Amino acid sequence: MTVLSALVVLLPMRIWSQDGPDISSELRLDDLRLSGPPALSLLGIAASAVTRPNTPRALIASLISATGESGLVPDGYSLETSPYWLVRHPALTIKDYYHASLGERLRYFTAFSVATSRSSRHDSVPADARVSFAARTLLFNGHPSRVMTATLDSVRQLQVTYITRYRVLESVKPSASGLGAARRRLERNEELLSTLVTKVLVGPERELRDSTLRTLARRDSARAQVARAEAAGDEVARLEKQLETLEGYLARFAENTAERDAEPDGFTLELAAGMRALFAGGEWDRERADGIGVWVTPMYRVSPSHVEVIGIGRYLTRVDELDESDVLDLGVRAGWDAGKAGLSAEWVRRNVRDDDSRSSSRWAAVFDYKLPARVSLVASFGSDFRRADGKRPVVATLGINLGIGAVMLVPAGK
Amino acid sequence: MARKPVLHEQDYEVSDRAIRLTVVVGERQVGSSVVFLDDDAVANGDVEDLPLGDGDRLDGKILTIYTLVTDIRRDVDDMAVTWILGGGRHRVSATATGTPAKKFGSQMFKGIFHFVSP
Repeated sequence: MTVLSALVVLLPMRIWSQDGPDISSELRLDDLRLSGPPALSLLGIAASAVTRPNTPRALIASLISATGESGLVPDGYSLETSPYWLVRHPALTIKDYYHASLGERLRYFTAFSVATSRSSRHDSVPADARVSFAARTLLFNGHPSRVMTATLDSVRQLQVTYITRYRVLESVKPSASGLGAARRRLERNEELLSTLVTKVLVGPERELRDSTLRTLARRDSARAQVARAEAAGDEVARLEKQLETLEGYLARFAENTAERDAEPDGFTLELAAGMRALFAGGEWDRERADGIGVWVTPMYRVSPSHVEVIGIGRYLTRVDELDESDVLDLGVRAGWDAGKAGLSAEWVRRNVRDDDSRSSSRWAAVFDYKLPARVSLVASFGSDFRRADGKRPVVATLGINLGIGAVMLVPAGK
Repeated sequence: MARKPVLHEQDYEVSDRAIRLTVVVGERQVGSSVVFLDDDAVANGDVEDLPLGDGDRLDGKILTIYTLVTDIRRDVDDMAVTWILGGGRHRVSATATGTPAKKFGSQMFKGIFHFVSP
């Protein structure tokens, strides 16, 4: 981490004792949120890749490949799938999807996950196997943001424009397709005419004049045909280029819609729960329940006002890093974005069961301002978690985010 | 170059009642339609319970529906269009499925219905 010490004297310092904190001061509200499948969070590991099959065949293939040749529980395997989306839904319209009843939401948004890990403290001891199962769903899914609605309207307008031009293309194409034949016909008539004209001019055969005149008329007709086919060909090329451009616009709008789909406006409520089992030494007979986890994540977003409020409740039992204690984490963050400037306030509370000394809360207000070239200024102020000595340090930082990670102007004390 | 449409073509037996058309764009994708009766465009956009006219006046005409579907789903690109015609001798529901050539691409669906007397 780069430290710009010259600025340190100008800025408020981060103050805390030399004792290490009982609760990581890096614990933020985002750390409590589910960033992947809940089954993976229950194991407290990061899988290299989460398998998300969306067909029955892919699901079976994933499960078979996970077991491997030895049939043992794999290390670092994670799968999440939503049964509803394993099959096709030719009658499900986008309108039905966004105006779903509670029962429909449970079908659309419920996903099940499984994760496994193996670990051993000694090479000589068979590795323990941990397996977790979890489910999550959206009880409320909000509604499409105003930007997304506008994007979808633009998509529909472009689609109608596309169809109108496509229809014209369909009617013009047959005329353009006869260009080659028309050119050959013209060529034949030109050659014949040339021969006939020469004969009429140099010879005495007067009867050839009628034939020449007929050929002349056919040549003129062929010329007109070629001209029409060429014009149609130009029109086809012009329309195809327009359609290609429209397809490009549609693709960009579609990608934008897919991104907006993940950030609905209004009230959303996600519920997740799961359990973890431990197989000591990897043996089936030595199985025991190893903990549960429950996550509740309500969120309210009003994108036109740039306001977002998110709350998190997380309950975990037998947490490794807390000496197998049970823990209840609560958090809430309200944020307001006004163009280049953003202001947010965050509060996180950790309750460790039967150990008040390790229960504490943290709050912070964060201000950030976007500078040119993807650089932003970040300042925060608040109160950190209570330390072992009973003190609650002040958090006061000022830093610059270079877009590749934060560079702190004031170093974090240790 | 524009891809070939996914084509569905069939006859539809009319009666003396009003014929109505609904186009369903499924698979949670977004699509718009333009409806032609012979060479006349009669509607565009979302088509739901669109009155086309009395069956006896539609006899011999051709109904052509162009529906462009755009893939807006990140994980899957399945597409489906269902044409539902009612008011004739029988209610007809025909579904065609397809996929775009590339991610977030679009695919044209074309339904052609020949109105015929029973």
